[in-house]
Amino acid sequence: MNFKEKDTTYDSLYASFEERIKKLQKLPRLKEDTSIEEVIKEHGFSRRDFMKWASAATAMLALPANFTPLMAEAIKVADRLPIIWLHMAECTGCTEALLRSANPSIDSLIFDYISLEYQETIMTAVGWQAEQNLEHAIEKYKGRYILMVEGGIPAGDSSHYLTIGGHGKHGEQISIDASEHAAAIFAIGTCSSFGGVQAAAPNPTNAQALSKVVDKPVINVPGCPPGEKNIVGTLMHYLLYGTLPALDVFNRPKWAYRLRIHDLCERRGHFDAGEFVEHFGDEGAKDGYCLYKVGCKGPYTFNNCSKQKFNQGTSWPIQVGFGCMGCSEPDFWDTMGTVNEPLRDRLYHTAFGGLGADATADRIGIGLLTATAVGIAAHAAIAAVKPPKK
Amino acid sequence: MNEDNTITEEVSHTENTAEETLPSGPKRVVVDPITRIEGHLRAEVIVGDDGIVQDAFVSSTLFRGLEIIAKGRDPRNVPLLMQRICGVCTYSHYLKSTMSMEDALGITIPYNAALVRSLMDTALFLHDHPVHFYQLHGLDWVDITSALKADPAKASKLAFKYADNPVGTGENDLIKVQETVKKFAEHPQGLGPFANAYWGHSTYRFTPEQNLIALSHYLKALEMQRLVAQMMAIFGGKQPHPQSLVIGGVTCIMDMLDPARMAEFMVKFKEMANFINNAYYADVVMAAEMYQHEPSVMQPISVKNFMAGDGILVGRNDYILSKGMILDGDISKVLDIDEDLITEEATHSWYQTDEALHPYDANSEPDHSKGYVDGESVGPDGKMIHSKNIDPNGKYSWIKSPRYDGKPMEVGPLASILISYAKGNKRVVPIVDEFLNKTGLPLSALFTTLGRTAARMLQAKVIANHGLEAFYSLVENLKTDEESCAIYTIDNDKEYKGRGIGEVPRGMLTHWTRIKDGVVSNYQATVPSTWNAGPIDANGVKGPYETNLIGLKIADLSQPLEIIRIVHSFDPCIACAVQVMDVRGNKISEYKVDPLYGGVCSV
Amino acid sequence: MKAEHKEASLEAQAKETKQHEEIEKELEFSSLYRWQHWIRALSIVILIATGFYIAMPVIAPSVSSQPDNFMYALFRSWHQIFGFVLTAAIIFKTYLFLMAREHEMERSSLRDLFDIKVWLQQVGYYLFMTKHPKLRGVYNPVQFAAYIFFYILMFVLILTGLVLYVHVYHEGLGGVLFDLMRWFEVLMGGLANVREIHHIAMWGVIIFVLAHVYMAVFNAVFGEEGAMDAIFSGFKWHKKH
Ligand code: HEM
Ligand code: HEM
Ligand code: NFV
Ligand code: SF4
Ligand code: SF4
Ligand code: F3S
Ligand SMILES: [Mg+2]
Repeated sequence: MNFKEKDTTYDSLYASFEERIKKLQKLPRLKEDTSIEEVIKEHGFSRRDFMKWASAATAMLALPANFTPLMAEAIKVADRLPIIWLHMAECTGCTEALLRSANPSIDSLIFDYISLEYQETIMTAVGWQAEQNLEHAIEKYKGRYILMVEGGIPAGDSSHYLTIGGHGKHGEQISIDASEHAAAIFAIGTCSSFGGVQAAAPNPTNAQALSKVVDKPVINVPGCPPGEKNIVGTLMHYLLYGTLPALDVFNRPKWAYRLRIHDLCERRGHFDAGEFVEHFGDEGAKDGYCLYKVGCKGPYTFNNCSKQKFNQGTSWPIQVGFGCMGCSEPDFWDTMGTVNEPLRDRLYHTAFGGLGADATADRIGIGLLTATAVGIAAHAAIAAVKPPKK
Repeated sequence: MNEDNTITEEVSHTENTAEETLPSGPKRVVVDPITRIEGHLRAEVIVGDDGIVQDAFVSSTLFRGLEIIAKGRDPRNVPLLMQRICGVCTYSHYLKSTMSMEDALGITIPYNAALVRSLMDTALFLHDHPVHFYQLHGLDWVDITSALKADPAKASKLAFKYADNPVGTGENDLIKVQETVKKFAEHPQGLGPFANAYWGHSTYRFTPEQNLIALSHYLKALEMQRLVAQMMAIFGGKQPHPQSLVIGGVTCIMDMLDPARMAEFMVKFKEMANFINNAYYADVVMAAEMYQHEPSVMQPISVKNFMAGDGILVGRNDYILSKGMILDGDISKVLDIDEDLITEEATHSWYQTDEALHPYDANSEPDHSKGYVDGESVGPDGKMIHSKNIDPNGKYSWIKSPRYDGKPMEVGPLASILISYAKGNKRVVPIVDEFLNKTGLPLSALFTTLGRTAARMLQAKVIANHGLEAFYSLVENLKTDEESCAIYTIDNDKEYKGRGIGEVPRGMLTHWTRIKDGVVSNYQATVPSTWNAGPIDANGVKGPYETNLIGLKIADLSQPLEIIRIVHSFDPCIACAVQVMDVRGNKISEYKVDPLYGGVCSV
Repeated sequence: MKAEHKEASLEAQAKETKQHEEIEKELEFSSLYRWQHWIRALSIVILIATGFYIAMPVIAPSVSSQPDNFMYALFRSWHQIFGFVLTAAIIFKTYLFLMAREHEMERSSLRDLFDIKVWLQQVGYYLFMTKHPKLRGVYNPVQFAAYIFFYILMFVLILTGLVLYVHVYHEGLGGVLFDLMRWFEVLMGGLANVREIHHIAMWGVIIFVLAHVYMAVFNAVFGEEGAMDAIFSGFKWHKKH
């Protein structure tokens, strides 16, 4: 689905959402005695508040306003989908991002509605009991649960770099087993989406993306960490779309990763005008000039940070004058060059057996150009004294 | 048949009661995964028939190798990369790594930048400690199921005993909390994330009303952590993983110069400070009252060496938290830290070192060839089951063992508070004294698991009460000075080395760097959780986690809540703790030691 | 061949040209052919200049209180315009090369390309060791290989340029090509790599142009048929038979 086609498919999309919700409604509920509407009412919100939330969520997913009632229906069936969250090789930043989620708030996620069956950072059970929870959840909700994975996965001969549990099971095996019966699989964060920081060159532990380890479709929600809204939004998205491939080329949900940071950036006017921050703290920096020359990688990065922002809309990297470092792109640690320089100054540190330490494309280019020029000059000099044979 | 029968009497949500009895003699208990921490951690203890822990081992079960990855990269990229060591203490590594670069390159950052960084640091501490106490550690002290039996009216009144202006404990609030949790408990699925825990365990000490108060704060803390994260985001763009520090200073000049933005920070700071004073402080006072006779948290700790770094700059060369060192629990003397005496070793860590080597000669290549060994341990239903066990004679953790002059040290809020107290730090002493007065505990009570948990709260309170001094210094300075970032160049023909050091939520953190040919040629982080969680060293000496577990009496081997309570009291961050050491022929003494804040704010 | 000998022969040649009018003109390049050469050359020069600016905008616009000075957008815009001109020219030339009857003499150079003897002799010629080989087509194998290399660079630049373009402009052609180009983007490992490849390929072109212009001059000075002006006038000159 490209940019143009989208409008024309809304009707069929609506129909498919309706059908999907009907299907979900037939699944048994996890919570017999309560509905999201009740829960929300208990919290002192009115139905109007709820619909307002639904309409915000609809807008977030880049759907037209007339999808709002469907969104409201969708969230009502969310309790059919228990969640299992696994930690692999990670920094827990993605879990922290989930904890910052406000819309719906995490308390309501945990306490009132969606059933978080396994999440090592917040669950109470420990050790054998924790393992039992995981096994029970997989067994009980076969084919129904959503698997969310945080972290890259040391794989193959390196899988022993992560073990979990009293039986010393490898992280790779745990991921494979948990994915087996999942209704949907989300890779939360750049680590599980693309390997992440531990997979940066030389990837000492052979850390891999979840999609490289399991042979089932994986929806990637990259970002280091992804914004809290992208995590929760992807869940909403799944409720509506199911496994519809509303994903981009890197299997990221299009509603969030369709456009570049650069396309939605508040400093874009300055970019087009050629007004750039030359160094941090200068007058341009005080005026909010574009950060391209101090290394912004927004032109190569697909994410919605400027729209959603972080921490309930408080800010985002470009607003604080740093620029984007490309954190939702595959291998961004290795492909985005120096963080405070434009891409053309990318270092080839690992290339040429280390000789590329301070080499950039331009320096190599100038080097080759110089060599060519020297060759030409030498050739011309010889030609002057010793012309070619006829 | 024998006394182990008693262990089955506890209320168990596993619904399994051990029909059979355990064999007599020492038994192994494996706790893996340890949840409610950062990272992947296992604790293993050997328990005698009397239920007392005879020996203990702690093992980290994940290796990532970030220091290897740092090598060959542009110095400007490395702080962001190092930040990804941990998303919980998200700012610590970013800051210390940036400082190490500045130290190496001889950069003095503008005063404004130092103060903004400090404000972000307050946001980190004010976030990290309450989240630890409530979300990670809290349920080791608070029994949710007991809270259901509480009388909300009584609880509401009781709250005034511990706080002048209690938070979230109005009768109606508490009724709502109870209803929310009740729904969970009655639910066919059970307690969701609270399922299958050790509810009803005999070592829970709170009354139902106290449990209800704390539970209400657990929920409130979830909200508050969102607010305090916004404080970080105001100057950092996001939390976790803020993105506004650069070598030379900060990038958030627009936010600093925006009065509305600054006011937003201040208002949020005050709101959080209120939560710390009226909920966090109150609950720890309550815990001190109720748990001071619970042996599992009052056992005196045995590694009594403490070390701390400077923390939170609030004025020119003025830090809220003091640095220094205490040996053998002797708080009459605070010693200076001689960084040359810091070593790390891998005798029992999964790296290729068979003998104890000076860490700078150590080979950092990982070696997991042995891993765990086959064995037996007490299973969830109280019977012996097959498991993978630690081989205490071999290597058993990805964490190394740092030592100071050969001695194990404890780092963290307890060390920081003790050292500040011993130094007569004017911001810290009154707060500690007030707490001891209010609880009636002697100073020696701080040298316990309870004390460690209390010290973390005290450190948060010190920062809540004094952190805004940095804010006022900044406002004052901005009137005449708008510098936010120093300009520098990296000379590709020169070699540089430097380090960033200071206190972070889990203790003293140091990042060491070398720059050559314009790229990082060597990198090393010496991390708080490494000090505390490391395995046995070459001399057979254990670190703080392991020694703290020895001597502990465990009521129910299949429900080792006491182990968890102790391990959690350190606030384990295992992603932080696993650090490669690879500084061959690279002595710490070669690094320039600057008495100031890593040498970058010599103002 | 001795240097003085060569000089003498050149002199003689010049004399001949002036005095005896024994030289005949032969149309080597049609005007269409010459136009597309120079359109291509001009596009490349403009693309290199604007490309450098896009990579690192070194000129700042004069300060203006009105937001109507979109300097970077202008550079990008010219880059895109000449990007498409070049794309058209390259496709056109490729078509001619493959299909047009008049370009049989180009295609016949292919046979020399796979003839090791011609290669050796040609390289020997450039190294002042052997005589210029007799060619079956218009391009000698070294030249032909260089052109092939150049065309590979061109297609890399066009492809990567289009991938970049679909993200700059989402309507029209950008919209039509979007899905296809994103597929290539994945193949290249993300947009940053695309940009990097685009940039590196530019350096290839710069080096080609430098060598190419030198060779043109070299041939004009030492070659027998004055190829240099043929690309301007369309004619080459040789002695009447
Ligand atoms: C002194 C000026 C130049 C002269 C005498 C010259 C001459 C020629 C000649 C004789 C050819 C072979 C005929 C042909 O295949 O079209 C040629 C080909 C070519 N020239 Fe030039 N050229 C000059 C400058 C340039 C410049 C400045 C550029 C690019 C910026 C350029 C780009 C090309 C290209 C790309 C070909 C390609 C081969 C082809 O497509 O046929 N030339 N040039
Ligand atoms: C000789 C041919 C060309 C050269 C030398 C050239 C050079 C460059 C350079 C150096 C850049 C900047 C890359 C960086 O940031 O490092 C660039 C960007 C770009 N080029 Fe080209 N280019 C050429 C052909 C084309 C073609 C055929 C197109 C297709 C339309 C194209 C479209 C673009 C676009 C869209 C950008 C990115 C602009 C932006 O992101 O704002 N280029 N080019
Ligand atoms: N240990 C540790 Fe950290 C902290 N505080 C860092 O240095 O937690 Ni993630
Ligand atoms: S994606 Fe980033 S924030 Fe998430 S776990 Fe990985 S390193 Fe941490
Ligand atoms: S700041 Fe970055 S994303 Fe924004 S316009 Fe400039 S280059 Fe693009
Ligand atoms: S660095 Fe990441 S957070 Fe957004 S602005 Fe860039 S994708
Ligand atoms: Mg280290």
